[in-house]
Order: sequence, then C-alpha cells, then structure tokens
Amino acid sequence: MSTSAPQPLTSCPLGSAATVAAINVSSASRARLMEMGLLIGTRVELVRFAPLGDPVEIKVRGYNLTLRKHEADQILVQLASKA
Amino acid sequence: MNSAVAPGDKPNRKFSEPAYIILTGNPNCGKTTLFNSLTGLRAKVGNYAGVTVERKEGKLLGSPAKADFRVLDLPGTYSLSPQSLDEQISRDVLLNRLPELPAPDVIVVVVDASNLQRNLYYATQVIELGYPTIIALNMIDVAESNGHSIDAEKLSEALGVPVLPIIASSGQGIPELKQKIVSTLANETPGSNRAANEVRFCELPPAFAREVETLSGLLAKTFHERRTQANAEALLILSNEKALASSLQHYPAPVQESVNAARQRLEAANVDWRGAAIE
Repeated sequence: MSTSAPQPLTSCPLGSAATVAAINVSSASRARLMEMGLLIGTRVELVRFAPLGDPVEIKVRGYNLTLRKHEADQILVQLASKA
Repeated sequence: MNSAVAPGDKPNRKFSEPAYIILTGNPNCGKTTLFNSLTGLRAKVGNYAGVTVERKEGKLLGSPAKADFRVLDLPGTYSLSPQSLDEQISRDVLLNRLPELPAPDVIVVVVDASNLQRNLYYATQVIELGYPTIIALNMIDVAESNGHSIDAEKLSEALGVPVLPIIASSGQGIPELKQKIVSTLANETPGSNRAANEVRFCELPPAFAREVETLSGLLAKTFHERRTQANAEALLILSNEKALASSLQHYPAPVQESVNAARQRLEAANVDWRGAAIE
C-alpha cells in the first residue's frame, strides 16, 4: 500500500484504482453514497468525465456510479501503489 | 396442525381475505418485469432507473381457487430512508403506514445478481423488518456472463430467508418462485411476528444499541407495533435525518423529542449516529 496523502477522487488519473479515505459531502448525500456501497476503505476507479467535465463516472463494487463533480471533489482517496 | 397457536394469534389465513405480496428492491433490478410475469399484466418496463413511480396492483396468476392473492409493485429504492417521493411510497407500504393497505403478507425482495453487494444492503434492511421475506435473485444470466456464480443456498443460509434464482425476462425460475410465495402464504399466520428469529445484520456501537433499544420500546408502545418492526424502525429514524424529517406527521412529538435527545447524547459520547447503521 502506498502511504501518499489522500487526494480528491477527481485528481486521479483515469482508470487508476484507489481506496476511499474520506467522504466530505453533506450528511444526506453522504448517507446515500454509503447506502450505495461507497464506504471508507472501498475500492473505486475513476472511469471518465463527461465532455464538459461534469458529471463524473466511477466504478464501485462492480457497478458504475455517476456523481456530480462537486461531490466527487469532496471524496478523498488514497491511490493504490502500482504493483 | 394449528394446535400450537400462541394466544392472541389468529388462526391460519382464510383464503377468502386478500393477501398482499409486495415486490421491492433497488431501482432497475427487474421488479416490474417480475410483476408482469406474476400477474400477466403489461406494466411499462425499461432498462433504466425510475420507470415505476407509483404502486401497481395485480392478481397473482395461478393462485389457488378462491384465494385472493394480490401482487403489489413498488418504485425502486436504495434504502428505507427515502430521498424522494417515490422512495417514500415504498417505505410507507413496507412499514404499513397506509390506512388503505394491510401489512405485507409476504415481501419479495428482487435482487440484481449482477450487482449483488449494493442490492444486499437494501435486502438486509427489509429482512430486519421481520415480515415473511423471499429473495428473488434476478438476472443470474447477466451475473454469469460477468463471470460470477452465486451460491443461492449459501446466501439463503447467511440471510435466513429463502433465495430463489430467477431470470424474470425469460421466465426462468418463475414457477418455483410462485410456488414458494403460495406455500409461504399458506403457512403464515396473519400478523404473526417472528420475534424468535429476529435478525440484525449490522454491529452497532454499544451506546447506539442502547438508544435503539429505548426508542424501539417507545415506538412499540406508541404504535402498538410488532417489536421486530419497532427495532428496525428505531434504527432507521435514529441513524438518518431524512427518515425522521420525511415523516414528521407520522411520529408524535414525544417520539421526535426522544430521537433528538438520543442524538444529542450520542453526539456527546462521540458516536457518529449518521453512519453507524451502514458501517
């Protein structure tokens, strides 16, 4: 595991794997994200940005989830080190 | 056959009164497709979330003569804490809050096998309500083509409820599911509670568990509810702001006050009540 500092999900390179370190969105959206399987420690992958940069598509637990960019910005992740 | 009925329990269902079979599950997991094949109706289906926004009712095809088995199709929902009106409809039906509908007799949770983890969170929430529940493991063909094989028997053991693999779009597994629904209805005592095999799928911090216990007692007294549902409901309104905020009319002031007081105590004790039930 890498020990680099947590960074916003949106700053990861496309296709890179990472684990969620913090979810700093409003408490209602946070609950919904957690209900949908996005917890601290969950593996996520940045899939792509829509043409205008918003929304953002990510992969969580085997399915694709689309988030507003301002939400994805508030989700901090730890990049997995390249094996 | 009925000799061991506890006092206060009604005898086994008379086939003359309507029985309600509730279909529920995540959005786009195939509830309406299953509804159509159970009832022979042609409700609109689509391969995207949010097609069904109201509840729909139909008669179960091939139910025993004289029996009035009604299937109810609900909008998809990710959890019992509603974020929108259509999710609220589902929650109100499952928590038996609508005066025109009786409590569910059987709940069929439709689970998208190709997206098992997310779907199971909701399934466990519904099972915790304590009604007779059957899991319809839908789209097993899609899961297989994704390279997953699911052991329905193991899953059934882990969840404590029957799990039946189906492919709603082709009709595979539907006869078996129907049979299971009918046999469950025939064996269930209406209004029975399953306190004996009450289930709780999440580990709670001790302080949180105590608050749930207290609140559940209050709910059971206020609504004369079955204790199993009161437990699940206490957990819901304690852990989620929206769950309480969306039903202020339903909960009398003393309940609201004790929820707020409990949250303050938990906050003072540094327990995060917002996420406790999910993690």
